[in-house]
Amino acid sequence: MSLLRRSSPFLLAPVAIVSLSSCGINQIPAAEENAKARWADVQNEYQRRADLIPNLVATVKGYASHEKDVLTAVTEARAKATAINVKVDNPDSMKQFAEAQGHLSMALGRLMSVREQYPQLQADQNFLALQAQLEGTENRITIARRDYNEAVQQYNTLVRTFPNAIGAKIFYGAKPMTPYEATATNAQAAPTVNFDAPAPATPSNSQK
Amino acid sequence: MLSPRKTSSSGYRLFGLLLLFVFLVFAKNTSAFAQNFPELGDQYVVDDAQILTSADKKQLNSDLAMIEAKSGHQMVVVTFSDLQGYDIRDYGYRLGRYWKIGHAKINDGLILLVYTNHNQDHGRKVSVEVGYGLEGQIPDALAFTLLHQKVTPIMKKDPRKGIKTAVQIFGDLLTDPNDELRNKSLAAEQAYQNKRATDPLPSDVKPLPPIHPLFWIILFCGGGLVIIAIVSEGQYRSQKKPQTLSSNHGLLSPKTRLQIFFATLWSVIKTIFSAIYAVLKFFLAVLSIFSILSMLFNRRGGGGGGSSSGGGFWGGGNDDSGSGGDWGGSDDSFGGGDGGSFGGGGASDDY
Repeated sequence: MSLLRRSSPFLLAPVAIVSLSSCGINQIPAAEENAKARWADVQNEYQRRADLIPNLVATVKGYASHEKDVLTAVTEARAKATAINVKVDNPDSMKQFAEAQGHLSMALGRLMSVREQYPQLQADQNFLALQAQLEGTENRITIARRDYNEAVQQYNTLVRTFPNAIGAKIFYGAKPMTPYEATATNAQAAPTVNFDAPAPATPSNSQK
Repeated sequence: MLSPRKTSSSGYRLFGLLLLFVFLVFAKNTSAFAQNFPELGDQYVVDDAQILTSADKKQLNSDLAMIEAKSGHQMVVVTFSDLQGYDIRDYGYRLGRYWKIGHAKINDGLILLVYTNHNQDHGRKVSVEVGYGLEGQIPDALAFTLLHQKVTPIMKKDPRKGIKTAVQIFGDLLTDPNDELRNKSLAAEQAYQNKRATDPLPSDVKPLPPIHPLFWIILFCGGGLVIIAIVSEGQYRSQKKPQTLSSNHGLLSPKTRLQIFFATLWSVIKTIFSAIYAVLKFFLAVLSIFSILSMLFNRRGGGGGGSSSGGGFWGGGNDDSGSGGDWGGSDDSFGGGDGGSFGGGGASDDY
């Protein structure tokens, strides 16, 4: 009996390992990295959209040069959106980023609605290709955002529910991550027409 | 001798509570895929909208099987008459992820989706969903141009012919000899087939959903302890008599020897159990300290809430778990999606 009692620390070791591993020692960093990778995807897709815009603006300008308001609004919204240095662990910068991207979505929506008045533009192969790329990118953005939010939700659930919450606090001091919320009005339905939306970049009506 | 029994019975109660807790957690997690998708089976073609004849399907199946054999890339055709409220692109990528078309890590799947509603003439759509890996080879603009210029004009007149044309056009793209992904994809397909050949599971049995490891830990520890408890309780009761007998050295009946053996076993088990219990108590103490602390600092309680999470992140890892119909060497049955994923590449057009 005393021998057993003396050897009980050795029996304790495997038990401790098992209990520790069930406290999220590995799961928490893995979930965090997953969410961060998904965030990188979101940023990539937004960057991809930003890269498309100059070409798109140039093409539209060729047919609809007197739609200057819309064109400048897009250019300015793009400049604003790309200027933001977003950090995933800073909710404020996330919010700013979401807002700027939402405004850009809105400006783009107005630009794409212009095409209805220009049959020639709609027949332009280059424009059609760009439009397809833009639609594909918007689609990717939606998916990337959804994937990111799912990853964040998994991470947050992991960090806040019972067995893992212990490890999360003791070993990592883990804080819940911020999901991406489309803050600007109607930013979800990006390419749709939205005339009564408060356009942020319209005050500067500098006609080039 | 009485006190350890007391603590141990409260220990079981604790385990019971834990087990219940874990079950509750799982009940929430397993209902991740609520959406209704058609089943792919061992075919390359799913024709829910019933546009194709059975001869068409046979032809398409063998064409698509040939494309896969040549290029390693998986392409499937789906027709349907109900989008379940989703946009066709949105539906397409979800379906692609659900079926896991394409190979894991290469993500070289392609889905041709045709939506038609027999009750109305407008709103018919055709869409191509391109896996991550093929996005370089089939960019959105190319997919759209091909659909718009070559497929939809035919689709408008004859959807059957349109589908065949689309399969031919995109099949040509996939079997392009300059394809850089081909070797990788073919190797992945080979590896997948080998794995399937040695897999003891029948091909139509889906792997079990991944389960949190804690579940197993608690099941084994908790379940084991319950059994130990039942055994040791019985031994503890029958112990009193043999103890008086065993003090009598000399002749030991086999029965007494057995009882002594069990008594020793019991004490060993008891020590192990008390060690486990001590660890558990430690964690419980830590937990209670933290809950008190969190109450003191008035932290926001209650986790994420809202919708349930998006599938098996825990445990299993959904990369290689694709399973589908039987391959078995025959030419025109589908080997099943091999873990490919989709990120929104492709294009759609009205017809």
